[in-house]
Amino acid sequence: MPKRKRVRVRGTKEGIAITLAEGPWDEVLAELDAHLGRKPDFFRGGRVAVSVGEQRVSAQDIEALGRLLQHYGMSLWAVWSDSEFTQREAAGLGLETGQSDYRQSARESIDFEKVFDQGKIVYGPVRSGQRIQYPGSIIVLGDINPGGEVIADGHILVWGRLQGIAHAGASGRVDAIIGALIFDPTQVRIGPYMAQGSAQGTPGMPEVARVAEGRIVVESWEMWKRRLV
Amino acid sequence: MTGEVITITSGKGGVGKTTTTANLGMALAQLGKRVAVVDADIGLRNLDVILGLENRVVYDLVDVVEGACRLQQALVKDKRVDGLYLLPAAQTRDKTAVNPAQMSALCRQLRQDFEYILIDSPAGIEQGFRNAVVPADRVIVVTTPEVAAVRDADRVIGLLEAEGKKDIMLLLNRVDTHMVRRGDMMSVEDVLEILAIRLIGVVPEDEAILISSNRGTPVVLDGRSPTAIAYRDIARRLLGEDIPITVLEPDKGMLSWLGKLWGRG
Repeated sequence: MPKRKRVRVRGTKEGIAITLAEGPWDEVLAELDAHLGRKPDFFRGGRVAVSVGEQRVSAQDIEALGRLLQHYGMSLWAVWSDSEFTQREAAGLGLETGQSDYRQSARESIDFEKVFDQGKIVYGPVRSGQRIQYPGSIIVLGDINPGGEVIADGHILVWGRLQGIAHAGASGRVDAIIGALIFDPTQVRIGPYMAQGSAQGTPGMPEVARVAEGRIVVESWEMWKRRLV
Repeated sequence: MTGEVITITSGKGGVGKTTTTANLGMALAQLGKRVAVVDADIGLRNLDVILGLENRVVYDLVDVVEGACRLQQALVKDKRVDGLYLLPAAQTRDKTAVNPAQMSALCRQLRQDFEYILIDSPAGIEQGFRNAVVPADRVIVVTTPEVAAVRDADRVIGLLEAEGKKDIMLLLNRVDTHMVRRGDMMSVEDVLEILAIRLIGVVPEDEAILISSNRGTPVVLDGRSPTAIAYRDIARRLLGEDIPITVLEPDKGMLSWLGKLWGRG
């Protein structure tokens, strides 16, 4: 019989927010492990705030949680709880803590799973001084000029020349990509990672930037495509 | 008569807005049009100097807007070319002395009397720029082939598009064909690829411009230099004539076709 899900993972403006329902701590962690293990690179590099409701969680248990998150490349920075005991324990570990602000953060939350599925088409050129933001993926039909900025929680695809700044996975998804017919950016960012542009691109070849092993790599579209199959 | 308002702007300073306004105004007048050139650079007026009309300025744009004089009193008639008038900027005030609504009202008045009203915009993207741009039917963005100037032009084009301006044209100024050939300067194509708007003309680098500005006699008055030809061609394109765009080389004193024509479209 399927149990009620104890783990919820969301992206917020502050990073990744994980809500853990009450239950035996080892079971909760095992469920979180299973959840994160399905997409091990999904959240890599993210900073995490965990909400635990009224549950009393010891410093030891919080440390175990921290180690699990670290295993997936995430760092724990806050524990929200309505239990004073849990708050004291978290504070003792040097973490941010406070009342569960679940309702407030829920309003700002982004659905991590769907961030790539919804898209916006932007007609270029995106000119110097223009900044376009969207809580999903962005397709630019045209160029992103130097000084122009496109920020997406999902992917960014430029059907034209990327010369300005593109920030994909802006709410923390490090599996976001940035692709361009002519890839010549001032700077690209994916999740928390940043790379400066260089003139090393392959002329006449569409290219894709992604995060691999903790840094941004750029490869030709042909190379990238092969990874799909 | 319902005249057309054309604003000359750039974002970056020093790329040749005022020289362009003076020469295009004069070239249009030489083509038989009634033209008013308006200096919207309040506080830093220059257009009167470049046109050589400085010593005849009595009233200015702010006086007209504030009702201190009638429009006809403030307009300075150019005695060298028929049909050319200057509305000078105030030198003792600043950009906040006039607002966009007042500029629009002023232009409504000018439209009744003139076929073309050319507004020389101040540099920057603040109120002075907005004053100059709001009444415009068409806008000429002036840039030189420098990275910083092109960047600012791009920014300004974005602002103009956001303002709802449809007819935005590019004038590429101070192009040095030798430097382009050596690869030391952005080419016309390089600039057009970024800015992606209609090219109205290319003006070559020419020291004659500096001399003529200092003397207060715009180059189109003498008629022979490559820059004069470039400005006159631009004026005729503004009137709707289909003249291919070429780049002229000052020192050779001859036509140099770069093998490609731009600006059809």
